[in-house]
Amino acid sequence: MTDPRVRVGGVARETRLPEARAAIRSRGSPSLLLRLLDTRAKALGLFGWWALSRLVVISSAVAATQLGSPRKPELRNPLRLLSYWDGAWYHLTAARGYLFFPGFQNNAAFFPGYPLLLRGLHAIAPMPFYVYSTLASSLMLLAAMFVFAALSKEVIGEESAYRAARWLAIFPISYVFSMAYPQALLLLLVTGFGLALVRNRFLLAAFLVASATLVRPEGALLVIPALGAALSRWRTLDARTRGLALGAVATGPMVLAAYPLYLQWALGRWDAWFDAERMWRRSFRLRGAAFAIRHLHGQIAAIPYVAIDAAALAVYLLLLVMALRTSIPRAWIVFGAAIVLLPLESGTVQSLARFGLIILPVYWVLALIGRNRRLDRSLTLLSLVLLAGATATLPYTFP
Amino acid sequence: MHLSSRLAQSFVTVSIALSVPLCLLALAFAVQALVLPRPDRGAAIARNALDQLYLNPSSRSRTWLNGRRATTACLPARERIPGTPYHRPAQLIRSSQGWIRKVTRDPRRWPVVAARSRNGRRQLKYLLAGCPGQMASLLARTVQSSDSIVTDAVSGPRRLPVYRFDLKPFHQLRISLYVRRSDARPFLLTVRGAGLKGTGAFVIEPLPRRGWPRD
Repeated sequence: MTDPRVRVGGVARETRLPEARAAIRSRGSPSLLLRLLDTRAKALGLFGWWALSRLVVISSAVAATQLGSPRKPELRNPLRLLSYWDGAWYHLTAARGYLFFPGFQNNAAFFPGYPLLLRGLHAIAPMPFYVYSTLASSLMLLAAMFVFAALSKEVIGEESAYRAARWLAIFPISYVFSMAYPQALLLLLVTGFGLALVRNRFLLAAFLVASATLVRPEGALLVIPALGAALSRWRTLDARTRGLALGAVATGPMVLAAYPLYLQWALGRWDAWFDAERMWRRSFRLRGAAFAIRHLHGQIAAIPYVAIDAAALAVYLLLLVMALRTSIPRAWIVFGAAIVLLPLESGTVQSLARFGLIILPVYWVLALIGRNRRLDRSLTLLSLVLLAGATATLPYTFP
Repeated sequence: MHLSSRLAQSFVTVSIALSVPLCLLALAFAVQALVLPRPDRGAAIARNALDQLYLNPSSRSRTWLNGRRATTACLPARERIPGTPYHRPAQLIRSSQGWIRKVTRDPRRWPVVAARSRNGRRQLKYLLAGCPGQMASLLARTVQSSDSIVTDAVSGPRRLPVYRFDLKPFHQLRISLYVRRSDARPFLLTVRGAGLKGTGAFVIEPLPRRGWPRD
């Protein structure tokens, strides 16, 4: 009989897992102890991957600031570099609230969840913004990796789960998880939501959807996996749990209204968010995706780094198509497609690489590909190199 | 009995399904309202001034520059961003000193055109500072980057009550914008520095909207 404790690199097939678990149970406490040690080793392994990836990000940022020619002198500090670009808007919101000036770029384009967290952290431990934002984002990535590993065990099996969690840290765009951007917080909330969903904790799932929607509008799209889970388990749920499941479904779209309501109350303009988005040349239009694809060449000519977003979009879509051939729940695949295809309707591919970081099926598919150890090693190495390269572009373009 | 039991179950399901998102919506609103600060006084005054600048995008300024009197008209325009299908706002400046220049208003990409004379580029920036679009951009950026930039002041022999904004340095020009306290309309701009002889002062008059130039 194959014992899961001695399997290396996930070569054994996962269909043997229940059998193996039964064997462990029958052997009593010594096996349980070993199993705990095995879990601890995997946890240490995850921590190691997190530390390695953050080392790559920080050292690349240091190299970019020292070897490159940043436009502003303050960007010679790598921590400041990681809290630059949109980080300045989040800092402004955390420090002074929303300052809406129609017709100009302003912070109403940025949702309040991340500034709320920064404000809370600053109240607890007053430090320079660029220090605690980078630290908080990186730690939230670590927490998200463990939550995602627990979720992945339920979705793709234990053998691939830790590999999937590892991909969160080493994905080429994952440097954003150490920036003063809300993506790490959003990732933690999305993975927590997924875990709550598979464990039928619908009230917790609803709370996490509400928090995610307050962080980024994509949070409202969690309605798709919530609906998928509610429909698939409807017959097995009692009346109260059905209500909670439906509540989790309705929470995202309803809490999306909380931000415009607040803007109306604070600034007298519920549509300040849309007005501010237009200043970044983002507004939904009919056939926006076709426009974005048709003018992709022009966009890359004007801002060469848009090529990274275009490449990331292609990778995301390819991996989502591959996910269709696995047992990954379809609702999560539809969620992933919506994450990248809806912003495309605003007429540009800009920032799609960053938006797609919360598409969980991408990491699951990469983990399943990684069953082939040689391929896994090659992809991991390539990804780390790309991570270093992408981080080095930070002084010149926003992610 | 069976029907009433099913109805009761449906009632429980629907009431929970509605109350959970509503409670979370209320909680989300309350957290924002309680934790995030409201706009301060300077931001509120600046927003009124920006509204006025937005409503009056073209203006005529009378100023003294290097010992010569200049009358400058600023008119809004749009120009195509090279290599893309997008347009961006631009500014057309017509000066009595003989320049006609179009400059982009995009804060990251301007100014792009220099004037003819040796000192022209500097003078162009000086004149540009007096245009409503540029003034608004400077004002918005200044308010977003610093806490209190507005002070109470009086202006002229009649001691008109005004607000004074000290704007961010603009190409080494130190600029103060004076806004009437009664209607938040900007009416005076003082400019110092950048090697210009003396101090410049723009008296700003709104122009009618008719006859705006196009690309």
